Amino acid sequence: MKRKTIRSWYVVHKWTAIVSTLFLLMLCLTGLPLIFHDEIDRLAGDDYETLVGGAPSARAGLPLDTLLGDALRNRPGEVPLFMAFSQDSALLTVTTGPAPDAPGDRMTLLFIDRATGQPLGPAPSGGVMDFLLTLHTDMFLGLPGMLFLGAMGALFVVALISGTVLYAPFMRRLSFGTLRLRGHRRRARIDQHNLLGIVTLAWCVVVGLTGVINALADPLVDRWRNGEVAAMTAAYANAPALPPQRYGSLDRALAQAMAALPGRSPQFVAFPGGSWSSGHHYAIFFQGSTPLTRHLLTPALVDAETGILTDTRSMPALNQALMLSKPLHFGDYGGLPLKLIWALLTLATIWVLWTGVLLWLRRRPGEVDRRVDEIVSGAARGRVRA
Amino acid sequence: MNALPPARARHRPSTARTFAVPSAIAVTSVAGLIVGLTGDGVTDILCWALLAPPLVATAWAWRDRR
Repeated sequence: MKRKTIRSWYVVHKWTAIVSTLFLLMLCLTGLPLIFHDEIDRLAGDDYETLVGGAPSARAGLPLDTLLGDALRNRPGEVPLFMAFSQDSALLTVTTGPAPDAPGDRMTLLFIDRATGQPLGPAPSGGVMDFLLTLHTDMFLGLPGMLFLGAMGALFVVALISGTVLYAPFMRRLSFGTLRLRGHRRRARIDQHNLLGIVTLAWCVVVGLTGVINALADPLVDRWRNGEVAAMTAAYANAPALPPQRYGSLDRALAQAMAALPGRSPQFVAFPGGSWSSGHHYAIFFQGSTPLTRHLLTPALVDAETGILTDTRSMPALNQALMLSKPLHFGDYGGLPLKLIWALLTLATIWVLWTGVLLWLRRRPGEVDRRVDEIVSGAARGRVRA
Repeated sequence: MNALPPARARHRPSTARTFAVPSAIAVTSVAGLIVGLTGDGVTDILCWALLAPPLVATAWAWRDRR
């Protein structure tokens, strides 16, 4: 590789890293406890899934219309927005708000035991985990914050790629895994930076890219609603929005949808008027029955007044990528050992970022040219490969 | 006495050799991430095993540090 090429890649690596590292450190540090949020909830006694037990609410229990009526009596003046099922327990979650298009911060989540009909009270919120999650997803800045962090994730991926390009000439004459920790601190730091960076590379690219896709969740859902949903409900294009008083039986709508999508389990229902449905339909989202398709949702649009199925169609490829990006980003799909591995890889990433920060902070004038010289000469002082 | 090949021919560095171990680690990592999605139980165990190399490589390098 020519010296000029190396210099260009070095400058790309340095600047994408400088701009994004502070935010990446925040993302890694907030992400660490978030990996274990289920376990932390359980310790705090907030894990309703295990507290409730019983037959999964996705499959059996009291009629949804009855339970919905009970929940709404609990929240006078509000309308239903979502209903979420559990595949593991009788836990049913009903989300209500002041209007069909209420924003997230005006929504109230109520837990209900579908086996007994007993209301379990509002879902716990406002704790440390909620704070960390909001900080991690949008720094409390809403959509602009999410998109900004998505951009930082994209810079992270460019830093990873450029770093990998620089790894090649730098490590030409060094064995893999060389750690020269005695002697110059700068050399020790760069060896750590290179080793941890290269072994976590693939995982960081996956977590980084899925983070970027997750940051685009809101625009992707809007695009699906304005595109696919509009096409599926074209016949309703000019009809006025259905008022909540005229919502028909949810149980009947669900039965219609399940008849059209046999073998699948409902995950949640989006009520008319919100971002996940049209103005007139229950959008019932079904998950597949295999471990892989469990993460992929297929919506069935049922006319909320008549209970007749309008259409059901898989979601567009980008939205499917979004759905697969969640487990691949959170690392919550392989049991506790996977979460522990996720945490260790996050710690390694934090160390890569930190050594990078120190390498940059402890620089002296002429630094770029010296670094490029070092890379060009293949860091010749080191163990020659046997 | 054995005639050893010239030092330069024996220790010829190349990009392929530099990336041999890193590529293997990257491939097993991605495979592990995907395998974990496709199943439960035994597949999870395979997933953990495929994601162990980055941690094992780091431990080995630390043990051999200078």
